[in-house]
Amino acid sequence: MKLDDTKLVIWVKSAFYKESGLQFENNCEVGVFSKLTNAYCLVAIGGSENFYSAFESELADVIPVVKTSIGGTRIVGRLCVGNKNGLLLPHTTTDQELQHLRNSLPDQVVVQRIEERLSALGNCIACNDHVALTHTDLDKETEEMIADVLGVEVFRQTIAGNILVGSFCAFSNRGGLVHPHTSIEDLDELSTLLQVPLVAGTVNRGSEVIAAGMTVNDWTAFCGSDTTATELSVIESVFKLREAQPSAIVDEMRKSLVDTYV
Amino acid sequence: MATNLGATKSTTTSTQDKRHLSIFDVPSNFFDAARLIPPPHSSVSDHHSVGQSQTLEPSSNDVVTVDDSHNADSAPRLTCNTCRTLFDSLQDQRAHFKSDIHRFNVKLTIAGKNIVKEEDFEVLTSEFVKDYDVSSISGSESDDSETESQSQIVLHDKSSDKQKLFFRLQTGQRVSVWKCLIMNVTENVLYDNENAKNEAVQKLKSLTAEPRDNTHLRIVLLASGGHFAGCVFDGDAVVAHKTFHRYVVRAKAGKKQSSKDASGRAVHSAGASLRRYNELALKKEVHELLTAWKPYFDASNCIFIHAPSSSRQLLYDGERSYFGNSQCDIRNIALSVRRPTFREAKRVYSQLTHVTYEADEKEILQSNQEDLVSVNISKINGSPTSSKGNRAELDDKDKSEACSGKQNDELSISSNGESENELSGKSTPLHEAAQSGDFVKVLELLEQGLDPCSKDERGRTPYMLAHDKEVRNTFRRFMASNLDKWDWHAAKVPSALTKEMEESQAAKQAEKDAKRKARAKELKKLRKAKEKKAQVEASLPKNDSKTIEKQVTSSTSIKGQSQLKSGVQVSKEDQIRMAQAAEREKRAAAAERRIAALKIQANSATTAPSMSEPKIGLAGDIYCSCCNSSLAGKVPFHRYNYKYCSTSCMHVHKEILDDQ
Repeated sequence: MKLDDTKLVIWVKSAFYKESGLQFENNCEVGVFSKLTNAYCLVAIGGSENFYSAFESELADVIPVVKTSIGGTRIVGRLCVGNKNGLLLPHTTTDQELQHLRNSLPDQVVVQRIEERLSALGNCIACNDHVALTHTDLDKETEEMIADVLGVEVFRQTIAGNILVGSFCAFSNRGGLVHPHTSIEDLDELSTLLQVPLVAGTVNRGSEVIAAGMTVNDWTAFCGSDTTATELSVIESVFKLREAQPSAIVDEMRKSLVDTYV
Repeated sequence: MATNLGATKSTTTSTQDKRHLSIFDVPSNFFDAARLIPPPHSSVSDHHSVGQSQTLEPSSNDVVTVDDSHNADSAPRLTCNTCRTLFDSLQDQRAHFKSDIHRFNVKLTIAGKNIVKEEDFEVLTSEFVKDYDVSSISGSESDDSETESQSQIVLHDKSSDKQKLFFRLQTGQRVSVWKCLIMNVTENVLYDNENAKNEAVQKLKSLTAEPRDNTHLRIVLLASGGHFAGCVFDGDAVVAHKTFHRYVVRAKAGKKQSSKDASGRAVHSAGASLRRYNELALKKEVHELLTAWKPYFDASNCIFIHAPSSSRQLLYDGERSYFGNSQCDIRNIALSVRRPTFREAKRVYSQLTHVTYEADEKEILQSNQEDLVSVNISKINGSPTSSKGNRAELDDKDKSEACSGKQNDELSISSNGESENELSGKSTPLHEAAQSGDFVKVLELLEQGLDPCSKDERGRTPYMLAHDKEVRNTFRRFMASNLDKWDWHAAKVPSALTKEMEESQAAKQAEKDAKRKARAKELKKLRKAKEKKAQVEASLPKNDSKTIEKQVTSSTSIKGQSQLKSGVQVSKEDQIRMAQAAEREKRAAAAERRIAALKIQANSATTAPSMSEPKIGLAGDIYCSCCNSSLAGKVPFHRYNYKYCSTSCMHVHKEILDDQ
């Protein structure tokens, strides 16, 4: 395992949220290997136990953490898209994986495999529990499916001229981070459209591929271990992770943070 | 570029309107004094309906009204930066972001082109859908399959005459509509009954006069292979639509899981249980939708259904449909329907409601001839007898030729699929005849003057398509008689086949045949002779054994008895006798040998030193070891120490030895 160099891993513990610098086999793109929503978390199978346990230890009490592959690959975060209502899987997903996911996820989560030519759904679709931004070339049928299964309004838009909206932004119900080159006008327009505050920024020490570098839900964010302190603070503030709990807990957290800094 | 296109498009749309009419667009007096006429019995497919089959109507449901008032608040930015528009409310903005024009503009922006204003978009969509398809191509449906299905439609079109109703308008033009638009497909049209004809015209008239206020809806329901598409239309406008897809069809193996289960052994794989679940889920979803659409069904006067085989269960519970409504007609769609999607539903509906201008019967016949003479010439020069629609198409073409090259391409692609074929070559009746091996037809067509050099889509001449030798000979014969008429080298016909050649060939063949026959006869003779020989040889030892028999059993008169019997019995008797004889013969031989052995023993006992004596003695009068006939004057067959008169004797003796 490459994860022996845990010195890079920053643990920020609290009762409700966690921002952790993570690595998946020496790769900081945690958003590629995991998918976090308000109702469940998917983690790539076959990675190090360390990676899995980082999610497990934080989330296991609240939401199920499911180890899976999609279409035999480990890039689960880029291939699927989901929120608390449902999970959409690409047509490459095998029957076994589909059944495993259906068995592991809560009953109210609708799991559906869709026949879309663009199979990296995670790159083509960005969503929270209410709205979704999609790639312009997605099928009408897929759009309908997104609206039905995920229970969202679907908008076709680009982010800073990029059609892969799923890669270049990440947003929860509380806030969102978009590609650093997004203009102020676009930012305003998008945040009006999505009804969440947005900020242009980076993760993983300047990476523009936001969704690949981090994965977020309403109370937790996981980012790659390369993420700088500045980036972390931006993420914390825009996703309102700090507001989620009283300051007393934060203070307590500070203590434990000192504990775990080795 | 956008404006440029807009200008050319508007000219084409005007001409296109003439050819592609929705039944709901025609003026209410369109069918006045129209008469129902029987379908033409010509084999030439109608080009308009071919071209038309690919045109998609612009989706009119998604068009959004955007107000250009500029009183947007400063705090929330209700704009679309891509389309450079402002909105009054969040609803407006959100609706805009879902619209086709926004999507289209986004695509243009990414491609580095100028955006299109909404007013232009309306005009453009009708043309643009072909070039810049606004909705993407869904999953498995690739561009290839699109063109493939197009050619299927071309083929299908010939048989579609039966599915269509033809009317002669008061202007003398012939138009056709799909039969299932106004009556059941299975219903027979009585062309000699004046009342029935009037009724059909009346029905059409009432169609055009229908009010468009959501009281005369038409519903298209498509279901197959786990896909479901339902669409409610009011005239040409989409009122509501819904599609479902569930994974129910077994991957690679095909068929639904339920039909597989019904065939016997139930499978317990992960996929199987998923599919079973999905089938139920799909059924439930469809039922919920159908119940939710109850008001639509009540207001509809016609429901078009495509639900082949087991998909029918989605819509029907036995005989009863789930959308029970007694006053509306339920009709099957007589078109080939692809995977049920919203797009497909719209395509099917627009096809069904189209009024197609047909070429006149006489004109068809004439232009048919001309087509036969040379397709290309008649197209470029414009045949004087071609129909109005055809002329419109030609005008169109002339215009496009006048325009710049790029537009020319676009127009010729968009205006008619057929003009493409002209460029790349197209299959002629001669091709078909050659491929089907109909040499009579081939000759006929060649004599009519069809070009054997013409190439089909894949650049093959008719000769290359001929599988049959007779067809190829037809070509070569024709070449012999019309050597200068065509460039036979270009037609890929290798050499002429003259009468003399054929005669000489025939003579050669006859000679060959005769030779072969003679040889066969000879062979037969030889074989017969051989068989006879073998028989003789086989019967030889039997005769021998008979003599033994006579020697051993002196006076049994089996033979005499059997000779008295009749023919059939004789053979039976013979068999038995032969078996007995063999038995006896064996025993006799064994006895002989014992005697001989005793003799030898006795000999060896008396004269021990002279071992070779009996042999010498034997050598003097050698007998066959089997039948004891004398071998004097014969070359004996040897096996071990034994000597035999014949090979059959040897075999018999060998068997006897083996038995011992």
